[in-house]
Amino acid sequence: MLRIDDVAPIQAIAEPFQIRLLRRELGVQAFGINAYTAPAAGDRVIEEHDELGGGAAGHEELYLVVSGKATFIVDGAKAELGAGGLVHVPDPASRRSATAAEPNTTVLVVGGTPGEVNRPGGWEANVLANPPYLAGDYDEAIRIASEGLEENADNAGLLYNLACFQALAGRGDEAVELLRRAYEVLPAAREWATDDSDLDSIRDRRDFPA
Amino acid sequence: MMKVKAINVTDIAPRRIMGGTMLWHPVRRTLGIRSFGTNAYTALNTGDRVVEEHSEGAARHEEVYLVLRGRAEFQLGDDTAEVGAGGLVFISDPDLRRGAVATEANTTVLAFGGPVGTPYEPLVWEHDFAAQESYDAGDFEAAYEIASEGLEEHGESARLHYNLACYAARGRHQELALHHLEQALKLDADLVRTWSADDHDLDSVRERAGL
Repeated sequence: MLRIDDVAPIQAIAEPFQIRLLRRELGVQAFGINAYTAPAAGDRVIEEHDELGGGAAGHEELYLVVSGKATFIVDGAKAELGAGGLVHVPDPASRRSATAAEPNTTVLVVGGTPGEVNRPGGWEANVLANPPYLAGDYDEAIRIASEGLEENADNAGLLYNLACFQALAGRGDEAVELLRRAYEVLPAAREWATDDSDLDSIRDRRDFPA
Repeated sequence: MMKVKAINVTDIAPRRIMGGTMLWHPVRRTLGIRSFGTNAYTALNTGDRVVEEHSEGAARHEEVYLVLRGRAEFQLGDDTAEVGAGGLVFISDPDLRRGAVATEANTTVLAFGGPVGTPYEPLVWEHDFAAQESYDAGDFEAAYEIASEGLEEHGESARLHYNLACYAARGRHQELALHHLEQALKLDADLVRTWSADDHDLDSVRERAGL
């Protein structure tokens, strides 16, 4: 038993919201469940994404506004919902996002794939690696992401982020190899690298994956 | 919205269950969710039940409960815990008896559930709950009609056929009741013998059904 607020928040990268990894904290196996909190009105509380990209689980998702108010945009359609509001997005290809309309808006996300056994993905390892990455502790970020990769070897997002951490830690050979593997899994990952300064230390290498 | 549905939990047409003091908001079936179970329950008064006492022994689900508003005292086996809004209760053991009583009026609890290691499938009890308000009001025709929607997905459920037999018998459709009892007996004779032993819903067909 715990309150959502009791779970240590993890700051997202390049987004203002914080993530609480409830599934991992509680030990839930049957479905994914996590909470997102935006500190201020106007802050993004759910990043714009679909469930098909690198590292995404391909889930159908249910969003629940636990507190505050949020404006959801799903495939261009808009809905503003207060506490108790639900948004069901069955199609993994749908683009979805939400912006807080009140301070401290918290949205719970529950997800799974119809007809399939739930398998916790590498996405959680990416989130767990955020704090050391933001603090410049790249060795710790590498340790966390590498652990995640043991169970999710084909997670393009995790491979890519680990490549970034290795590059930032000055281990170019490892970074290039990881980047190559990320591109094999998800060719579209090349777009992530085009203006990612995390990879600057290896960008001029002749073996930098095209 | 087209493929997407947005709605407030408490706007999902509530059905009165548990004698009328507890509202069931059928979230999963209203939204069409297929990968996990989720429903919401509202207790109108302090002291009313907001999660029925049960185990997940049959479905083998693990469950997460979220108190969305109000406050509830959860019973978890021999333990109790009072949980306010934003509180989560996770129960991994399907055999643990659990339930909750509201300690504030208008307490709403959401439940999320699914099996570990096997894909989720919608459960037949949703059709029982959907029909219960009509049954309690004595509108057995409506109860039968509502619950029979479950036949398409749960045609092999002894529980569904048994309940349909009850609604049909109370609605004085004896042949229909006997048909469903026959189906239920084929699927799970022990369940029918146990449940029917003191079930007055079946009094009008008990003899003909050989119960």
